[in-house]
Amino acid sequence: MNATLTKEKAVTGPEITDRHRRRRLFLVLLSRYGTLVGLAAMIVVFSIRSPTTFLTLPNFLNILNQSSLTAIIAAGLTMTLVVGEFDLSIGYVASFAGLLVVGFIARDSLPVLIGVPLVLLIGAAIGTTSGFLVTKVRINAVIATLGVGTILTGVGFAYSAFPIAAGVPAEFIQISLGKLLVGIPNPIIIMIVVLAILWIILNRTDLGQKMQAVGGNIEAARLSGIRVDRVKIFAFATAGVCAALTGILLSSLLGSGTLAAADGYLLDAFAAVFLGSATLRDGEFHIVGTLVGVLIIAVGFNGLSIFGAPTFFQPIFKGAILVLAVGLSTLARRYAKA
Amino acid sequence: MTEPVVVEFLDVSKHYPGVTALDRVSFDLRAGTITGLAGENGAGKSTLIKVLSGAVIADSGEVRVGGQPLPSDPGGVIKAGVSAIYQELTDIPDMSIADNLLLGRVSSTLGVTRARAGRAAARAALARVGLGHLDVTRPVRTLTIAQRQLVEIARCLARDARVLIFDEPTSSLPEADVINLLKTIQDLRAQGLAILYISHHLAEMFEIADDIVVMRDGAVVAQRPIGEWTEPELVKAMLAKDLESAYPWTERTIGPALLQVDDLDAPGVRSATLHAGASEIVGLVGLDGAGRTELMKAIAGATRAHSGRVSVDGAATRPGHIASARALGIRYAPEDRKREGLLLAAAIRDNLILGLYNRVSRLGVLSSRRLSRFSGANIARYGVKADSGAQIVGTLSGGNQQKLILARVADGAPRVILLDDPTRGVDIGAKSSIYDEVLTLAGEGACVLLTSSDTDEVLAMSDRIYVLRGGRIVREVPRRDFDREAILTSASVG
Repeated sequence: MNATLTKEKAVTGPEITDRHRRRRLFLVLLSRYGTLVGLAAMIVVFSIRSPTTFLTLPNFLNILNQSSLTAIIAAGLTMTLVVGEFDLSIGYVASFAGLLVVGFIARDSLPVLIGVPLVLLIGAAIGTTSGFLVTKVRINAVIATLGVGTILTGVGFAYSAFPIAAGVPAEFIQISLGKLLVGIPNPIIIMIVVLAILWIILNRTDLGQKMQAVGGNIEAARLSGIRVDRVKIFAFATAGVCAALTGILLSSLLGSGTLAAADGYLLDAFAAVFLGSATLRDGEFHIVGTLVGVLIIAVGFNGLSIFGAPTFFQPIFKGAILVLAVGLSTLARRYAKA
Repeated sequence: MTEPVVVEFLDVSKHYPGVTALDRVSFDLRAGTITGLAGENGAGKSTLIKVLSGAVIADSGEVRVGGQPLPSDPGGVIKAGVSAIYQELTDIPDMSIADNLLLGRVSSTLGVTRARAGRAAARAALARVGLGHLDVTRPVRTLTIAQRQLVEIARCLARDARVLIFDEPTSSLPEADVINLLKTIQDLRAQGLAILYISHHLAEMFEIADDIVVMRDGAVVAQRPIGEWTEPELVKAMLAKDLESAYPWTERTIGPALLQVDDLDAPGVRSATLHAGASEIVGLVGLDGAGRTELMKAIAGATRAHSGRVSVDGAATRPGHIASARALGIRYAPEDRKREGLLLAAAIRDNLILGLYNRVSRLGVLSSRRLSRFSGANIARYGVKADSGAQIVGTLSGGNQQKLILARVADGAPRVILLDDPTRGVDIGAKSSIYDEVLTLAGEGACVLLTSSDTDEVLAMSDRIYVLRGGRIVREVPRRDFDREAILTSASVG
């Protein structure tokens, strides 16, 4: 009850506060720049260890090319996280879109210029449906999007049961294999365009401000006259389009529509987005961060394969990155409140 | 004053970058004595509480509890017998009363909880706050807010507290429960506790305090026994200016009816009919739960009315449709600014522009230049104390946060402004500048509906009031007939 515990003179104030402040500053810096430093460190180490294989322009283009599909789908996911929601269906949407687009073009002989936009529209429709379920029917986003994704997997099975004539047109293959601009593979260009559009929407438009307001405090946003349901549905629709685009590019790359081909993008996208939220900002989701997150994963994988790490190491790396990413993001949010 | 000194502040100072939060503060807390601590927001009260509860360590000076230096960590401070009751509840709703009371000090034998001894200790502590009749196995969430607050006090007592800090304990309580709480605090004084009582409600201070200490700009500017204070003197000491200027009501010419509400039935509102004219300030008076907030939300379209009509200048709003109400010029400033009004983690400018994006954008594209001009202009006009428009809103004081909300609802010459308790938890200085703005808005022709948890404040500012009880409007009183007793009576009984 009394102060017997404090007979020893306590450490004097300023020392403690200084130590606290330094520790907090360190943690804030770690959480803001840790990911960038990590990326730089990986690049430096890999370059020194393997200057002839890793540190080459073709390898860098290769990394970016591989990153672009993940970056596109992850950017879409970023939009849903900005409005405070989740989309677990994106991997399944991408797989489904990949099947559909090949079906439309190879089986139904639709022109590429019609088939591709049509599948993107279907992606938007799927996202809109998820958004509708989450906002209007008020189903928890995890459940709603998991449900939608699982249904799509089933529909994909049914769809792929039809014989798909071999012979995907070269035009379609060229979407991902072509190099429209000075030797840069198309997927990289498509990624840059998509990310730029989403960055502009989030940071330079009313709509983006509304999205951030909805994610920041949905009740304050609603009472300020923002139609929060529409804003959320837009985010889901964007995620759907991005997922469909990734699925289309993957099919173009593979030259066929394969069941469940893109399902694995879900985890990569989540890891990238959370790594990104701990990049430059204090736990907020943003497009540039997401790109950094994608690059970390891509560079890591590239290094693993160059140095011949056994295959079982890949899921370990992926899982560790996901946990690390969410951990960093949480840290960033906690220590931002200085 | 013969009671023993329990807590001594000796020349305590605390500096933050650019701010002196505490400036050589010295005073004592005595056993069996309630010391009121008064001061504007930013006067240093919060820092003082943080120092006394071990959350913040002073740069210089010393705090002694029972003659010993104050431990430097919150847990040690609690063991030393100093506990604080805050504005917000810190209990765990799903746990039982007994478990809440004994949180952190469960009696156990070799790690096995001694339930019986625990319950007995819990009952003893509850009895001291007048809740001896409660079943201690009930989950805390089944209690009223006022009872839960008493349980929090009992928790401090169960930890053998001999110094209690009350930080704005009445701000979330309905008026009837305030009386009971004040009585309990007086009982605790009789039991020999040293009590530090902080409140914006000066009437409460006069009711229970033995001494009042006034802080301004981090320093203690006056300390006198209660008998030597009068309310105007106290306000003057806090503000260094007079009380009349805190509520700057002036006569205005009331324009033609602007807002018309007919027979409105909505969640918590029953057949409300009211009207308000241009330039008129209309108060809504009622006890907690009488439907003040609910009525405002229904008018604003934030909740969906079942029937009835809300119109501005004859044009009706769509029920439950905020955007249509806003299109007619109705703006609502919510009561709970942290939960419903602000993006706490976002910058000032993002909060100012919330819902007003078309003011600074063209074809949906934002102009950051126009945004910073917009936020700069509002920060200056409303006297928000901030470094820049980029400062995070969560770091501002309550008064400054409220000014941002006011700036937002006042933008673009709105017709009808609904201000739901705009001065909740705000100090007198910020209050008067908020009401200055309200008066300006009314002067510019807006019709203002106003509520406050402090009925005197509504009476001081309104041209006319409606009294609500049980979701209904039961009386309408023009300013010349304002009579506090009669109005409070009709608010509480038919």
